[in-house]
Amino acid sequence: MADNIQISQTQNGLNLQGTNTGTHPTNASGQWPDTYFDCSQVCQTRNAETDATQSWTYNGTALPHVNALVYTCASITVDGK
Amino acid sequence: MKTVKCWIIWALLLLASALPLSGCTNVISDPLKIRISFDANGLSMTGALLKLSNDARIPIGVEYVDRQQLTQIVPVHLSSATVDDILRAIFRTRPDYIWSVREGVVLITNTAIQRVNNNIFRLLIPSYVLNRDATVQEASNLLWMTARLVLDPSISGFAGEYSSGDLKRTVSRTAIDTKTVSDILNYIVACDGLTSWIVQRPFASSSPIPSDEPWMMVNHLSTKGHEDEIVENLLSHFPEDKPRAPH
Repeated sequence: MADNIQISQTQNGLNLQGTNTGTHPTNASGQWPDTYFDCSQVCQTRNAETDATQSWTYNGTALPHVNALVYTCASITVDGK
Repeated sequence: MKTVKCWIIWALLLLASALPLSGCTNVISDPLKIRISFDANGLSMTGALLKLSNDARIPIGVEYVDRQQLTQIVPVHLSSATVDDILRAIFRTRPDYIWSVREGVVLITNTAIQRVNNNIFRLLIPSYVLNRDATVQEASNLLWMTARLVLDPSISGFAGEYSSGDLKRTVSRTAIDTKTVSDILNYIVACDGLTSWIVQRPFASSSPIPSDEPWMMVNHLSTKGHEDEIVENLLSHFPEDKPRAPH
């Protein structure tokens, strides 16, 4: 399972430019683990927010669901959770 | 290199702080002399390498892969042979492959790499700081962020995700100055003792920097018997039929 994270061009208070993503094997139930992170120079002085979307492809085919990610210096939410 | 203070937030690592930690105590002094019986079981060169690391319980680093290495089946069946002997058998038809021991890791490379100017694994990292104990994947992710900052100092922040890896096994916090990417990868897997690393895509510094790591961490326990699946995944990144360098 390969994924892509697209940083919002209009809400990028953390000034995030690089994205690190990977390819993960799925288990017998089609599940795979993800650990989310963010890392920004902005957090040294203040809190801010960056929005992003996460999409996946499996064997080159795009999956229909797209996650809405909200990054701050203290939290990350995925689809509001 | 500018300093970036990282605020890493764990969305799924709820139990990490309660798990036992291990230090860097697993370094093998001379892995090439370890003696085992080995059967490649119809695997390719790369598959056989991964199986060898599993069977001998040694960390390996593979900084060069080409399509032949991924596809050519190696009929290797040896009883009570050293790791060095087994490597000679695996690469019997490929004298361009060479190997040596670095920090307890069997580092496998290719003479073709020596002709490449911008090999990511030779990139010098001025400072790699792991400021707390971390899983192999965490340490690997930090290394890739650090390398990307060396390649592009204008980056002011990262976001992303990765597979957390085995939460029960950690690499001790450390600070390493002026070492190559390859050296630091070797340190990480040598400390863990049950992981190897392998290049997973060609890399050219002149092209856009990829978002995912150019290497893959392979845990021996979780991949034992699944070497062919890893090779299949690697094949998608090395589509051409002629040898290619990860430059």
